[in-house]
Amino acid sequence: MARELADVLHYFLDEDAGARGPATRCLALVAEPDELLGVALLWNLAHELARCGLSIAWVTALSDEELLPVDATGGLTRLLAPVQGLAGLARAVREAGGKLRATRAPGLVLTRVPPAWLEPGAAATELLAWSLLLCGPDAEQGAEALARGQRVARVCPGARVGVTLHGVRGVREAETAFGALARGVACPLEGLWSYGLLLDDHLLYDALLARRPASQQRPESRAAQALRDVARLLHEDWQRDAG
Amino acid sequence: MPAEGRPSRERLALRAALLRLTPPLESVAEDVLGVVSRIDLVARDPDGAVTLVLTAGAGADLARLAEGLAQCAWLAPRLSDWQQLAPHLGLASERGVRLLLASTRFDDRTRAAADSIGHERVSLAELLPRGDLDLELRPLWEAPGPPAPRPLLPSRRSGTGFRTGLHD
Repeated sequence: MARELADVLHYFLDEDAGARGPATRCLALVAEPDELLGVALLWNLAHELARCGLSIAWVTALSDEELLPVDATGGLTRLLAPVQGLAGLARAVREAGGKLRATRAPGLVLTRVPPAWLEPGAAATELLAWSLLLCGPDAEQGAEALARGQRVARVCPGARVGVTLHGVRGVREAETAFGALARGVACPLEGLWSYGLLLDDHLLYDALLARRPASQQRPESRAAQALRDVARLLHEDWQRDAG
Repeated sequence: MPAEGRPSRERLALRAALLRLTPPLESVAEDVLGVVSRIDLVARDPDGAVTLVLTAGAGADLARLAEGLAQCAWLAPRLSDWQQLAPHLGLASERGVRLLLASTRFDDRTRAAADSIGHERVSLAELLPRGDLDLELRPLWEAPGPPAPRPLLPSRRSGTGFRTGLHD
């Protein structure tokens, strides 16, 4: 989209023009459109990270997400992006990031990316520089997660690719599964970042159906504790990157 | 928009032609007052690298090359300000400004001068009209290869060990 200088002139005239804009990033969850756990995780994470003080823009390109409720009072906005393909989604994310920066609040853009969209050639650095995968404890699930990570790295060299384990019974099983994944990392993927684990995954769906985030619906549950922990790890990395 | 503020047909065609280049160049500012004269167009590639685009009429290409270099020198130190003030444009200010000079015909001296400066700083493209409403840009040289990957996020290479605050 072409922009005239006049379109950005108000930035030059802003009385706080010398101040650097607030940090904004995008976190992309790479998951199939029909992976309901991905939707449930992202929806719950959006609310949890908003509670951490981030302004969240949830860019939804997949039609099923249009029906999901958002808490409009909690720093979370949903931006529908009726696009198909990585380039269109990348553009939507870039525009969402611009809107967040304009609010001058620290922000995070969340979105889902279907693996089939990960075709080299699209300009998707801002979209994929911080990507998250969900992975179960089985070897087959691990191989699939690594394959997705490699596709991300091919499209976006140098991307930080993180993994959240799910379907595990506890911390020890998740740690073992993550260790196996980390040993399987190969070029062009440069490493894996651990973002905790999910416990009692079904409670995330329940929260979605009840239209109340798990941390509010069952705050003492293992699912809510694990979710808060994943959000904490993401938020800490966001803060570290923002410097 | 008033008629005088409307982009000319030629500029609209130029925008579209820039988007068809490899890598595509997206217009971010047009008709910018630079040093003394106006810059036709400022564009960015998908990685945010900035290209200053000037067109030259027949016989004016050598002079426009010199003017383009002067405009690049004017724009380069301002890019970090642009980036701060309009961060959504995603300009990679640290990569400087490249000049793309488009003309229907290039003098041999223009080609030699651009060649000696280096294709990473200056590129020439033939401007080929396609009917009344369209035009094509045909680069005289291939675009430089992609730069080595730059760090996207701090410490991206290290990964982490398993992290959680939970206990069994």
